[in-house]
Amino acid sequence: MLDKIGKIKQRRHHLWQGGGLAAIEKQHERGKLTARERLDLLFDKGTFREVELWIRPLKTGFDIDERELPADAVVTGIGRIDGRPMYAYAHDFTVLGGSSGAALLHKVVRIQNMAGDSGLPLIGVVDSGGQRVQERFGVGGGALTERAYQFRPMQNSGLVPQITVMLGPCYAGAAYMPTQCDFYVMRKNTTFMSVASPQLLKTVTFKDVTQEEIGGAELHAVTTGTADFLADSDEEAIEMCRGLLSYLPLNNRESPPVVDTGDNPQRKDDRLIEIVPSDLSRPYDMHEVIHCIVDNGRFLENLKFFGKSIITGFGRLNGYSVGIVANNPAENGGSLNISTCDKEARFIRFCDCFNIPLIFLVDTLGFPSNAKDNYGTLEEQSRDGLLRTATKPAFAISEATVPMVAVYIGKCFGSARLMMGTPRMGIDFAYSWPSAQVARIAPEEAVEIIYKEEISASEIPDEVRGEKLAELLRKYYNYPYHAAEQTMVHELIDPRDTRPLLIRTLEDLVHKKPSPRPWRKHSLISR
Amino acid sequence: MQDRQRAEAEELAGRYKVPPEYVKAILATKRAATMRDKLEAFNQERTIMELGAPDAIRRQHENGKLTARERVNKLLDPDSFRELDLWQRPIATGFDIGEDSAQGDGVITGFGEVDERPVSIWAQDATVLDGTVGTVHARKISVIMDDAINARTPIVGIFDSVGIRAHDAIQYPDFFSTPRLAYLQTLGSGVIPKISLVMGQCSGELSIVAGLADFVFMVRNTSYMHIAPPPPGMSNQELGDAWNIHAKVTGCCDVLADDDGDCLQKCRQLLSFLPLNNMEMPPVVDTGDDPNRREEELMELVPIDSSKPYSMYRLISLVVDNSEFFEIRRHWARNLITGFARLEGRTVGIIANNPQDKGGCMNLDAADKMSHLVRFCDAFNIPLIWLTDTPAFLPAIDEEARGLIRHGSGMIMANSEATVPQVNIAIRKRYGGAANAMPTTNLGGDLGVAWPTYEPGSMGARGAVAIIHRRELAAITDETQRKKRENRLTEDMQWGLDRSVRAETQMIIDPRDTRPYLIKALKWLRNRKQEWLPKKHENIRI
Repeated sequence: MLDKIGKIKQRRHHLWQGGGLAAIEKQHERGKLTARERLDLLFDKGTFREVELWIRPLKTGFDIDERELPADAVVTGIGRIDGRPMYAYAHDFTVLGGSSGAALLHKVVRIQNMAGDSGLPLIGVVDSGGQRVQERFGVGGGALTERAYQFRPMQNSGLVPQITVMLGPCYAGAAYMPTQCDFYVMRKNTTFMSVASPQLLKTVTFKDVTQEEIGGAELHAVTTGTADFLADSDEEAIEMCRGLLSYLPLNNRESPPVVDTGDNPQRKDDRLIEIVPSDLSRPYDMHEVIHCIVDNGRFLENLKFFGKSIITGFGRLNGYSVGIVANNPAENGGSLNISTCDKEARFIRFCDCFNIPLIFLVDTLGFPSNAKDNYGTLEEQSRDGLLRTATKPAFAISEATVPMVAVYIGKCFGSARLMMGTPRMGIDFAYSWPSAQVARIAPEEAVEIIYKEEISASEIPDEVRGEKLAELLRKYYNYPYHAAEQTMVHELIDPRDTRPLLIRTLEDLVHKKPSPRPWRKHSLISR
Repeated sequence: MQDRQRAEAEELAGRYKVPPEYVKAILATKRAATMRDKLEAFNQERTIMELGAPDAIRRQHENGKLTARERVNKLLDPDSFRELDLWQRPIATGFDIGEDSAQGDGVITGFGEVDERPVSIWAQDATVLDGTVGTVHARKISVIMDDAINARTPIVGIFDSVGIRAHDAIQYPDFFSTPRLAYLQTLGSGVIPKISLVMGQCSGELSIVAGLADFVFMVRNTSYMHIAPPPPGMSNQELGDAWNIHAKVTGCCDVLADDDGDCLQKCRQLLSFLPLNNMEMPPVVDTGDDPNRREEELMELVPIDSSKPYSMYRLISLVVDNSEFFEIRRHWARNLITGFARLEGRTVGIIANNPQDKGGCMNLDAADKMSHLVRFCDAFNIPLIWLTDTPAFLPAIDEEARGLIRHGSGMIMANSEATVPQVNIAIRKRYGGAANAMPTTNLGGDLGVAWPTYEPGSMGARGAVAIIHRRELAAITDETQRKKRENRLTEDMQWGLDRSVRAETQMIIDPRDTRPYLIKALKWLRNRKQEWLPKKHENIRI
C-alpha cells in the first residue's frame, strides 16, 4: 500500500509539471506565471484542491497522441479566498498552449456546474491558444465536445459571481465564454482578445493592425468597455480579483461579508464642505467626495477608463459593502452618453443580483447637445443607438430591489433624473446637499417654453429671456428647497453628515423586501 | 326660460373660460329629472368633449396626422374602445395656457379589443395643449399602465407630444411624471407585450419612456425621436428622423410605417402574433395553409456556389404560412433578418442570415438585433427558428473597437438563456463563430439539421495541416517532396473533415420538406420546459 501511495504521489508531482520544465521556463520568460502558480496566489496559501488532474485527452490520430498533455491543459478545483470557498479554472499554457479539447471543456463545465449548484463564485484564469485543431480534425471530430460549455455561464449569471482574469490570449469563439462573466480583469501586454485575428484582418481589409490595436487590454479598458480592471502583471491582476471578491457575497441568496474596517461610523469629514465649488459650472472631482464618505477612503473602481463621466465601484460603509454610482463633474460636467449608460446599467444590475445596496451621488448635466466621448459627438452617438442605450439605466434602477439611496450634490434636471433614479423609480431615500439644483425641468429650458412668444416677439430677445429666467428662478426655483417641495428629495442635509446618515439609512433598510414583482422568465432590457 | 338658460351658460362660459355648449351640457346633467334625461345629458357632454377643438384638429390633419381619438378607433376593433378618465382636467398652472378647456389633459386612455382580444391603450392628444405631459396626463398613463400589468393585457402607447408641460413641472410635486412611467414600463417588462407608436414628436424624457417598450413603431416624415436637444443649426427632424436616423442607422425604430393608417394596421398585425401575457401561449390562427405543403422551388433557390447570394426572404416566404412574415428592424443591420411568422397557425420567431447583405456576415448591430428578438420570444413563449447561412463575424477593425465582443457575448447569453423550442436549419455556410451566433444544440437548443448545401465551420483542411503537421513538413528539406507530402496530408485532412461535417449536423433534410419538417419538430417540442435555479435576474452583458 505504501508503495502505491508513493507512486501516486510521484505521478501527481510529475503531472503538476504541466508541459515540463522547459515550457515552464518559457512561460516565465514571457513574464507570465504558470497556471498552478497563479492559483496558488489566488487562493489562501495551501488551500487549493485540484480535481480531475488525472484526466486523459481524447485520441486524435495525430502525433500529439503520443504526448502526455497533463490535466488536458487546464487546472480546475476549489480553494479558499479570505477563508471563503470558491471555484476556479486556469488554462495551462505550457500544455499545447492551453488549447481546448473535449477533456478540457468537460473539466471547465464540471467546475461551472459545481460553482452554480453549490452556490460559490467561479474564477476563470484565461490563457489559451484557442481550439485544439488536432481534435477538431481528428478521429473523434469533436463529437464528445461538452454541449454546456457555452451556456452554463448564462445559467450561473446572477446566481453566483463569475470573474474572469485574463492573462494570455483569447481569440474568436474562445472569447465569448469568458466574457459572459460579471467582472473582467485584464493584464497589459500579454493579453489579446478579439473576434478577428490581425492575419485575418490583413487578408480581408488589406490593413496592417497589431494585436494591441484590435484586442489589447488597454483597448478593452478604454474604448470597448469590456475590461473592468487593468493590471500590469499576473500578480497585480490576481490581487485585484481577490480585492473585488472581498466585497461580494458567495451567491445571490447571501448578503455580502461584513468586515471590521475600524473606521468610525459617526465620522464627519470637514472637507465635504469645501469640495463642491459655489459656482456649479466649475468642475470638481467626485472621487474626493467618495473618499471622504467610505470606510478608510477605500474605493474599488471598475471601468475606470471607460465612460469616465460616471464613476462606479465598491466601497464599505461601517463594514457593509455598497455599490456607488456617481457622476463625475470633472469629466465633461458629468455629462451622460452611450458609454456611461452601458457602464451604469451593468453595474446596477450586478449589485441588484447580489444584494449589494446602491448609493447614487448625483451631479450631472445630463445629455448636453455639445457632448463628446469616445463615441464622438451627440449626433454621432445618437447614430450609434443612444436611445436604445439610454433606456438601460432607467430600466436597471426601476428593476432593482436592493436598498437605494440618492444624494443630490449638484445639478440634475429633466431626463438626467431618469438616469440617476428618483423616489418614483424605487429610490428609498433621497437626500440633498445645500448646493443641489434638482428640478423636473431645467430653468433654461422652462423659460424657452413658457415665454416662447414673449421672447420671439421681442426685439431684444436676450434681455427678455434673461429677465424671465430671473423671474422663474425667483418665483419657482427655490433652490435648494425646490426638489424637497416637489417630493423629489426627502431631506436637506449637511454634507458633513453624509457618511453617518448613509450608514444609519442603510441600517434601517437592512430588511427591505419589496412586494414581489409579477412573475416573468426574465425582463427585457433594451438591446 | 331658454333665453335665461342661454344667458346663464354664456355668463358661466365667460367666467370659467370654457365653450358655452359645454356649460349647457353640464347644466343639463344637473337639471335632468329622469335616468334617461341624465344619460342623454352626459352623452351630450361627452360628445362635446370628444369633438375637441376644431382648429387644432384641422392643423393635425394638415400635418398628415390623425387625431388621438381617430388613431385609437382605427387601432381597435370597431366600437370596442372604452375610454377612462375623460373627465380629468389638468392642474391649473396660473399661466393661462387654456387648461380649463383641456379635457382629459391631452391624453386618451382606456381599453379595447384587437381581433377580439383585450388590449390596454393610451394616446397623447396633440390637439390639447400640444399633448404636453402635465401631472394629470402622466397620472392617467400611470393608471392604465398599472391596470395593464394587473390585467395582464398588452399595452399600446401612442406618442405625440411636444414634451413636458413646463408650467406644471416647475410648481407641482413629482407625484406622477416620466420617472413613474419608466418604472411601470420596467415593471411590465417580460410580463406583457409593450408597444410604443411614435406618431409625432417624442423627445427628452418621453423618448426614454418610448424606448422602454418592447417594440417602437415610427411613422415616416411625421415622427421623430431624440433624447438631447438638437445642437445649434440642426433641426429636431434631422436629429431624430424616423427613416433617415432610427429606421436605417440607429435601430431604435423596430417597425417603420408610411403613414398613420399603415402604422396602426401594422400594430394590429404585430399584436395578432403575440400572446396577451407571459403566462399564455400565442394565439393559434386558422391560416388555411397546408402543413404538409412541399415546395419544389426550394430545390432551385440556393446556389451551390456559396459565394453567390440569393433571397432569404423568398426562402422564408416559401416556408411559412401564406408567406406572411412580419419583420422587425427591417432597414437596420440588414445582414440579419428577424421577425414573426406562423407555422400551422402558430407563431414562430425567425432569425435568418441575409446573404444579399454583407454576404450574410454577422456584426455588432446584428448581434443586438438578434438578442432583441430572441429575448422577446423567450419571454413570451414563442418558438425560435434559425436559418443559417453565414461566414460568421465580419472581420473589421472598427467593429472590434466599438465593442463587438461585449455585444456578441450579450447575444450568446440571450441565445443560451432561451428555454422555448429552438430549431436551427443550416441552409449553407456555418463557419467558425457562427456556431455561437446561429446556435444549434451547442447553446442548449433542441435541434440542428441541415440542407444538402450545408457548409461546415472551422478552418480549411490546408490551414489545419499547416498547424498539425508543422514539424513534419518543416523537416522535409526538398521542396517538391514537401509539397507532395503536404498535398497528401491535406487530402487526408479533407477526408476527415468531410466525414465530421456530417456528424456536426443531426440530419440532412430535403429542402422541399422544410415546412413539414419544422411543423413536426415544433409539435414534438410543444411542451418544452426547462427550469433553472431561482434568481432575481441574469446579469446579461450590456
